[in-house]
Amino acid sequence: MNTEPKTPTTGTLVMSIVLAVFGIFWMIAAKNIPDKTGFGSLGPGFLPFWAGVGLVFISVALTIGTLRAKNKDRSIPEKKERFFYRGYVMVLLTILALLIYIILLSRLHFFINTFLLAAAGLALSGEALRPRLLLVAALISFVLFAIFVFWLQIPLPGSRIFG
Amino acid sequence: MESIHLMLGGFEAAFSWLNLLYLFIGVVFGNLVGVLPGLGPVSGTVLLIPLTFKLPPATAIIMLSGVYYGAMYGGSTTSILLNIPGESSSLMTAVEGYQLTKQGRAGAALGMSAIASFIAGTLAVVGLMTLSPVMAKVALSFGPPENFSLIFAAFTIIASLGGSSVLKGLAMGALGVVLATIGIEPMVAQNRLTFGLAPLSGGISFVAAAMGLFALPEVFEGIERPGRVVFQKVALKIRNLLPNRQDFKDSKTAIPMGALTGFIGGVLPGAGATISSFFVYGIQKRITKRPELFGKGSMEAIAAVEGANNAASTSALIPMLTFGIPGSGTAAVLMGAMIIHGLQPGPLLFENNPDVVWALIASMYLGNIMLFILNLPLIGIWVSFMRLPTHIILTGVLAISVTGVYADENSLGDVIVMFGFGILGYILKKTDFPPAPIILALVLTEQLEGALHRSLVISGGDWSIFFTRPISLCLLLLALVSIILQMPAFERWIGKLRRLAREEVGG
Repeated sequence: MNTEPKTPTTGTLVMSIVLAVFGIFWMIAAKNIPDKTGFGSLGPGFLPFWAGVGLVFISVALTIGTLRAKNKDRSIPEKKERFFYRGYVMVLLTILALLIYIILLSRLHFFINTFLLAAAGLALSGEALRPRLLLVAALISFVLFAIFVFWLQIPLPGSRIFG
Repeated sequence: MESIHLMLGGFEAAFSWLNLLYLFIGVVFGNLVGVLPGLGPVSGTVLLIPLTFKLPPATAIIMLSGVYYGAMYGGSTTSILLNIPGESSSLMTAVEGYQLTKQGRAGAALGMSAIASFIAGTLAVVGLMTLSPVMAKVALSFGPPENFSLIFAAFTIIASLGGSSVLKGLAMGALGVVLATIGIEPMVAQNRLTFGLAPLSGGISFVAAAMGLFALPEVFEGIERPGRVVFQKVALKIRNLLPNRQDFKDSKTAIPMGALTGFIGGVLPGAGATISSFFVYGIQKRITKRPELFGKGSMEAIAAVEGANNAASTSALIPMLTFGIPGSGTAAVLMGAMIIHGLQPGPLLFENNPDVVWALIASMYLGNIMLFILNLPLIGIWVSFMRLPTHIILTGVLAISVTGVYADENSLGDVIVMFGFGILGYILKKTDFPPAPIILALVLTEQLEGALHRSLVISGGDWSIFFTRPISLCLLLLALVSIILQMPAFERWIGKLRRLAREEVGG
């Protein structure tokens, strides 16, 4: 008899419900698309509507299947994962750093902005707060700058001062 | 005769300095991607797309496809040396190769891997060169109903990219179709489902979605669970890199078997390098004269598996080039890159852009030669890369992702879209939903909708057109069968039949 803890199904359950709700939302949104094509039922809302129907249908099937698997052999517990453990906190902080980067993208020079993002990324992923962190962040930013601006000649925010 | 003429033209283009340089960059980078666990050929290819924006289309595709098959060569390095499969298709190489490393035969294992990869990869390119024009001619005879049914069948096979769960694969495919309908309706260019958001007015950027779904989740997961490969010193002398005569004798059937299995597996959408490698391992284990070596360090197994995964990575381009149906996640990314460069994969590609196609095919011969020559000497360098702290690599990936997406259209909106897809991709990773079907759907939905509209215009709104044309009907039935075969209920039913059959025989 298998006594290994079961792989958690909560995530799948939540996702399948979210997908089903999203599918319903999409169906409603698709029905409200004004039809300027004159194609009638085959207008611009046709495929989005039926894609939404498909998503709802599949998500419901997935929900039912997941619930069945969850309830099967209740004597075997599921593996428990803490929700707020250090790893997830680090990921959230990385997402926040990325968000700040995006907000500052059109305001700060690319090099500075990328340097700050790289430094944050290194710090959050475990690099100790030493001069090496700043050096590596600067190197990453410089290499990217060199590749995109000098080699590929693709303008980046704030790089126009270099021609 | 015409094919030979076109092939010669392809070689002429492939031998240009520009194409050779970018082919070299692609295969070397692909090799590195294959070595580094966590970065697969999909994310590796995605990362290089921004570097191709200013390149001619042929050069861009040559480089990006180099990443794909280069990764297959690289995946064996860490598998053999460290028992860490660089790619999922190298898992059995790790099982056998690491045993050989412990026996002091790492060099010979690496050598056999490179030789098998080269031979099988080259044979697969010959197959690609021979089959593609024929399949393209067949595809040209397809009308809109056949195209619609073909893409619909491809969507059902997408479910097999869902790993263990068919429903998860289908759900992601459906989500991909939903997201692909954002932006401009293809028939009359009417805006839809943008909810007033300017970044969505042109639809979802493929580069932003691909970076978000494949590159960012690797970064997030690496930050969530920081780790470092524990490296053990392995003596690698050049003279040790050749397998001995017995190894070659043992592998003489394994390499062709790997090439054939991989070639067929790559052509079938959804099968691919990983399944081919497991399949050929199982076959070789049954037919070998030395089964006692399997699991304990079999050179023959390495030859078969590495041959299969290289052949599969080459033949996976056939359905993409000829039918416009990508058979794998990486092929879908390549297809997206081709579309970005103004190429339309499918039968018309051979008619409208023969120079690009044949240059690509010719470059694959050259790419295999480059990899064969470079793979072994570069092993020391790749192993040094493995010493790099993972967080430096991940931070580099993060920075190049955001820069690359911005560089596509100089659009902050695309970066925001990438950010959204990055969060989605991470959630999908944590809940074990596959992202590849979303990308496949993003690439195929516009064609699907166009084919649907054109079909119904031809038939005057009569849906039976899809069922009265034989090829279309066959493809729809194939779609239905494909779904049924993958359902857990069907597998349980087959299991029951097998048990009953065994009981009858036993009784």
